[in-house]
Amino acid sequence: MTRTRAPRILVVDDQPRLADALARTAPDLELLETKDGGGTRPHARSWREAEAWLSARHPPDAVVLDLRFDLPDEELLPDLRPLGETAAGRRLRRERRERQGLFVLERLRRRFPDLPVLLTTAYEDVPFEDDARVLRADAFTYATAQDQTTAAGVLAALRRLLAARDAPARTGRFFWGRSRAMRELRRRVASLAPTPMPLLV
Amino acid sequence: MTDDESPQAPSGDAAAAAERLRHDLGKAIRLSAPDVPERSTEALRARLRADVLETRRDSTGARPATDLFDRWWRASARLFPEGGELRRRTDRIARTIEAIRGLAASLERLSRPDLERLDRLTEDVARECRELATAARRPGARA
Repeated sequence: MTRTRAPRILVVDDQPRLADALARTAPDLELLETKDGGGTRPHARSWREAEAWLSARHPPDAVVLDLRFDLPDEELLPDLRPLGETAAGRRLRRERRERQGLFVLERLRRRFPDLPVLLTTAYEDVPFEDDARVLRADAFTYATAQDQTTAAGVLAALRRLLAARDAPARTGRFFWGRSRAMRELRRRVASLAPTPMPLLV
Repeated sequence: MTDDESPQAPSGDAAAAAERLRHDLGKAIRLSAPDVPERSTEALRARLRADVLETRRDSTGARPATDLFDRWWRASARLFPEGGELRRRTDRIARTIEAIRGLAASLERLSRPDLERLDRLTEDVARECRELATAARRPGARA
């Protein structure tokens, strides 16, 4: 089935430039807007702002997510509270900011396990190896290539992601439907396939 | 970069600092770069204006790339002692930033060749920041 409406994209990034560039260069995409004073902007700066769209009647078709966020303590997951100015507080603040995108992704996945998420950081540039391993294992999380973290590179990756989501998936002679239920089933089958256990569907 | 990058604040280790620089400067200074260089000189100038002079925004407004590096260096220099491999890399970035500073000051009057030179310098900074972050993460990396 051909998609008839513009794909709804939620950009979660504390900086405006990427979302502004996408809005300018991809008018065929609908960037979900956040109220800001008397106007709006085409990105959510934090989990709190993003959550509003994830709870909406029509959630996004894909999320573009930064990894590092320079936000005040009260906007940083998981605590959303002042962290203090002790050495421990400063260390926590630094860690929360460095990995804030991962906290956002974890919260997002609780509600939307198969919502496509495009990280604007290459896997090779994720500072923590364990985090990179978890991200690679997530079938619905994608990352830009190391030399493609420009707005143009992010847009190209986003278009590929949307095209793959819309295209019918095939395994040999078998056709997989595109519904959320079928995508989840396919993911579970893929994870069980390497085992010797029989699989009844 | 934020208040906890001020010189008086505890700065964390070299790998974390290098990653901050890669993200806040190296990525942002090439954010608007197209896949194919602009044919229009004014389009090139506009793109460099955005990437070099308005690299990141904070509560006070847009910050140029040179200012981002200066602030990062004031907060992080102690993590990169002289003589180490990582210090050689930060020195390289500093030299590139100085070259950018010289050209950026007269960006509105730069000729096409000078704009292209500035563009190449932004590529250099992006690459050097990425290489610094990668080097700083290696086990046993000596600052």
